[in-house]
Amino acid sequence: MSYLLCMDNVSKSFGKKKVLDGISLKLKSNKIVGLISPNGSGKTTLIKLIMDYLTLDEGSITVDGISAGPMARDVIAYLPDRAMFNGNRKISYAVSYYETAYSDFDKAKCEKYLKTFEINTDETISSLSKGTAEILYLILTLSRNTKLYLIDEPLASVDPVNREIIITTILREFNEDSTVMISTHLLNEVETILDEVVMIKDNKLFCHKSVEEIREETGKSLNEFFKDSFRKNWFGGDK
Amino acid sequence: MSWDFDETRPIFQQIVEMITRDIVSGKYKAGDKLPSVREFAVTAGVNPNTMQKALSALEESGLIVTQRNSGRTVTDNTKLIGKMRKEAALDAAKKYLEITRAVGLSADEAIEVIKEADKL
Repeated sequence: MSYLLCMDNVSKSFGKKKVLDGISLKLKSNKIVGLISPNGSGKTTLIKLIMDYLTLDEGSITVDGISAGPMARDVIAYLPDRAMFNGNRKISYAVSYYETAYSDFDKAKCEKYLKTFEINTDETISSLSKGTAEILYLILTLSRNTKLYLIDEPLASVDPVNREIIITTILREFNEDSTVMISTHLLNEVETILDEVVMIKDNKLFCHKSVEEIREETGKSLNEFFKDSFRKNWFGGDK
Repeated sequence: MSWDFDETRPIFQQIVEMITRDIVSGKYKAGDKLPSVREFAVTAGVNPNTMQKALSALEESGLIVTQRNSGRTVTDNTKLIGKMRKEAALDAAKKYLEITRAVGLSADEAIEVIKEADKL
């Protein structure tokens, strides 16, 4: 069995601060994976290392057999946790940017979803609410037909109704040759759509497990399992 | 609208229970064509692999059959559906008896209560 994403003993520090310490992780195709950890625990750093937007201190990363870097980016659709375009640009600019930049971009699919969410391409990006801008970026990302989707905090500013629509859209567009990794701490929303979960704790890989196995073995929901794993004992003692 | 799950139990098991219930209750009738895995997963709001696993389990139990060309259908074996209906009713009855015993009723008294409740 070959893996779509292989991270081997990956470490990263910023100055003296170690953010990721010896992370080894392998993901197969045909999975929806949740990357969940408390805020500031290195989720975005991990994703940026896969994209090679940050440089590894140690270890190696391959995506579909290609070392992390510009070549590997071709098989990754990345949704950053912040704005991708200058707000003065029109939405149509963002769409044609994607069309030019990515040969795997499906414009028809993109237009269909823009219509679903009533996003008018003649308007500027800054005219969108924060939540709608997030939806726009998600649509652009999911309109690529590629192997690995890295989606960083897709739901943060979106209202509950649109959250549900986004989840449905991710499910509908998910294809078995690809893997989707979603970083989020909104566990209730993604609980039932995940195959596997990856948790980072104290800079290390804390667990990589099937969500159904967690339910079976612990009798807990993912949300409870997460909280119990990370809850600090405020009244003394370590954990 | 997605289905309502208890997230502390494996989702695939609950899907099996829900679809079984829909078949024995006649919402899906014998021989009915079923949605594809993808459609089912989107409606339920669950991972497609989980849905696939649930449908495979239902195939194993015989309630669902895969036709070579026309996808999945509910079995046309009405005997099997009847048997499953009986099993579902037995499960419910056992749970009911547990409760009525706990409040001090005998099985016969519990049956009388059901008859009474049916008239309300």
